[in-house]
Amino acid sequence: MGDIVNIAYQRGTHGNFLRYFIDRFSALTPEITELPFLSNGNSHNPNIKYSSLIDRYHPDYYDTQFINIDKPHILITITEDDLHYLYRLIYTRDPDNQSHDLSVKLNDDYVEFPPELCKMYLEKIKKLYNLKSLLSGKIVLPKYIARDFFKLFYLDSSKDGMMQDDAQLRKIAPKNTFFFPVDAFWNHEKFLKYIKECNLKLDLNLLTADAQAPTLHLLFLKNLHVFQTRNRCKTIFNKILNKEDFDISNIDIVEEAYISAWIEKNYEFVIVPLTNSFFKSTREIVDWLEHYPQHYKAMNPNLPTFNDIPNPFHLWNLKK
Amino acid sequence: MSKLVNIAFQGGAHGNYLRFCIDKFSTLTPDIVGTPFTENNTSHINLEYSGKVDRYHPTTEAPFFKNTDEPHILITIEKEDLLFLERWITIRAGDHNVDISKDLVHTNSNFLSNFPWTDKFKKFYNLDLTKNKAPKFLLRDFYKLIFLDNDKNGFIVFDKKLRMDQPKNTFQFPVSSFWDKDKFFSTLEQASEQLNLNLDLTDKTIHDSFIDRLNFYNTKSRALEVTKAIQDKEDIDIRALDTVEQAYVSAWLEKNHKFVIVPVCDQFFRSTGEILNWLEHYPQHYKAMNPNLPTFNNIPNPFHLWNLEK
Repeated sequence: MGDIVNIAYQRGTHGNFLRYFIDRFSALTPEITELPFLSNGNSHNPNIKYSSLIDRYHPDYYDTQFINIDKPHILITITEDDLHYLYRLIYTRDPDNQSHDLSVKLNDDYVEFPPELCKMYLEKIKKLYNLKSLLSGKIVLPKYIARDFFKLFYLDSSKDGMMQDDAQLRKIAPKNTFFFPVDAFWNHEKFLKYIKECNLKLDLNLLTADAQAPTLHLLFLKNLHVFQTRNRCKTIFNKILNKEDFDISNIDIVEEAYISAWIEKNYEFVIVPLTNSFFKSTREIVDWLEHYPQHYKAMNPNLPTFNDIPNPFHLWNLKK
Repeated sequence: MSKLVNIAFQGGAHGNYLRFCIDKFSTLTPDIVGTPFTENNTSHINLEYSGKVDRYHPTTEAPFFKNTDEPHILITIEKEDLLFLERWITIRAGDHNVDISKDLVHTNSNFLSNFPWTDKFKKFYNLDLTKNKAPKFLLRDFYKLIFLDNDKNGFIVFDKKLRMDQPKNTFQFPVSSFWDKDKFFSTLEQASEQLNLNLDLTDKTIHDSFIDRLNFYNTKSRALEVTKAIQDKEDIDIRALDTVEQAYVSAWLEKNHKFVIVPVCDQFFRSTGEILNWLEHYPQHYKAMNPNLPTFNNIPNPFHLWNLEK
C-alpha cells in the first residue's frame, strides 16, 4: 500500500518512472541513488530499493477499479491525441522482464503478435479477417492486415480500450486524486510544472530544488523509445496538405496505420490499399489522392462519422 | 483500278502484314522484294506493292467501308483476343510506341488522337493526359475496367458494327489466326478460295519472322496460367506480369470472388500465394458491392447501374 501516494496508470503511460521520481525526490522516503532505466528505455530496473511508501498499479488488474481509495492518488490520464505515440511506444519497444511484452515483431511481410496481445485481440482478429488458421492462439498476420487492424483503432478512438478505461477511471477516481496527463512526460517544462502542482496538492514533500530532478527527466526523454520521431506523422500530414514530397519509406507499421486513418478521415470516400507495401513518399500519396478513381468512391463503412454526421454505412456495418 | 481485295482492319490488327502476304503470295500480282518489318516490329515499310491489294481503317461512322462492291477481308476481333492485343496495341498501332508498362506512362497528342483516352482519364481519374503522365496504378485500373466489361471495349464494339455492315463479298479473318502459324496459313487458304486470290503458299518462312517480331509472344498466355494457379491454389511467382496482365488478373479476381476490389496502388501482388492469402483474409469490413461489375451471378449489379446513372 502506498501511504504517501498511489499511482494508477495504464500500461505504457510511465507509472514506473513517476514512482521512481517521487520516491527518489521525496524528503519523506529513504535515498535512492541508482537510475531506473533499462536498455529499452523503460524505468523497470529491478535492483532499485523502493521505499514501499509510493505504490503504482494497473487498475485493469482490478477490473478497472482503484484500490486503497482512502489514500492519495495520482491518475495518469490520456487523451485521443496521446494515442498515436502511446501505441508506437507500446507496440514497437523491446520488452523486458518487468513488463508484459506487447511489442509486435516484423519479419518481412509478416507481423507476429506477442502472447499478451494475442489474448487481447485473437477473437476480434479472427472475426474481422477470417483467420481460422490461427493455431494455439498465436497471431502471425500479413503486414497489410496488421496495418488495417491498427488503423481501425485510430478511425474510431471512442471504441479504443485505453480511452474507454481512461473515461471510466476519471469518473470513479478517489476523492484525493491528482490527474497527471501522460503528455506531460513528453515535455520537459510541462512535466516540471505538473510535478510542482502534484507536490502541492498531495503534500509529497518533493525536493523540487534538487538539480538532479530536471536532469533525471531529461535523461528519461533521452531514453524514451522513438521519442525523436514522435511527431513525424504530423510532419507527414503537413507535407501531404502542402503537396510536398517527403520520404516516408522508413516509418513503422503503427505510423502507417495512423497515416492511413488520417487519410481516410480527411479525404472523402477513399480506402487505403490493402497491400504489404505502403506508400514510399508523400508525393505518391498526393498523386494517389488526386487521381483516386471516381468509380470506387463509395462511403467508407469504417468511419463512424463524416462531416460530424453519423455515417449510415458505418451504422449498417455495425448491425451486420 | 479495281482491287483484287480490300483489307479492312482496326489499328494494330496486322492489316499491313496481311496486305504484304497477299500481294507477295498471289500469282496475280508481281513479286515483291524485301520484307515489310520496321524496327518497331510492325509491317509498315513501304515496299513496291502492286496496288491491287488495298488495306484501310474503316471510318468510325456508317457506312464504314469503301469500295463495297469489291472483295473484302475484314480482320475480326474476339473478346478472348483482348488480353494479348491490349498488351502491345499502344506500341505497334501507328508505330506510336507508347509503352503502358512503365511506372509513369507518357502519351502524346498524336497517340491521343487515335486512342480516345483523354476524356476517360479526366472523368475516371481527374487526370489530364495532355499535360500529365499517368501512374501505373491508373493504367492497371483502366485496363481492368476493360476486362471487367469486355462488351464495352472499343475494339469489340466497333468489330460488332463492322461485321453487321460488312460488304457482301467479305471474308472474316480472325486476328488470332496471325498468332498461330498453321492457323494463319489455313485461314489464308480459305480466304484465297473464297475471294479467288490465287495464293501460292509454298514458302511459309515469312511468318516465322512475323511471329519473332510479335511483342510478348512467348508470354501470350501467362496471365491465364496465373488465374489457373490461383484456382488450383498453387504458389507461383508473378513479378514479371506487365500492367495489362496485372489488369486481367485483377478483373478475374473481382469477377470470381465476391465483393473484393484489388488494391489501387502501384505495387501489385508478387505471387499467387500472396493473392490466395489476400483473398482468404480480405477484411469483412470492406465487403461492399463492387460498383464496377456489370453483373454478379448473371444478375445485373444494382450498384453498377447506380454508378452508371451518376
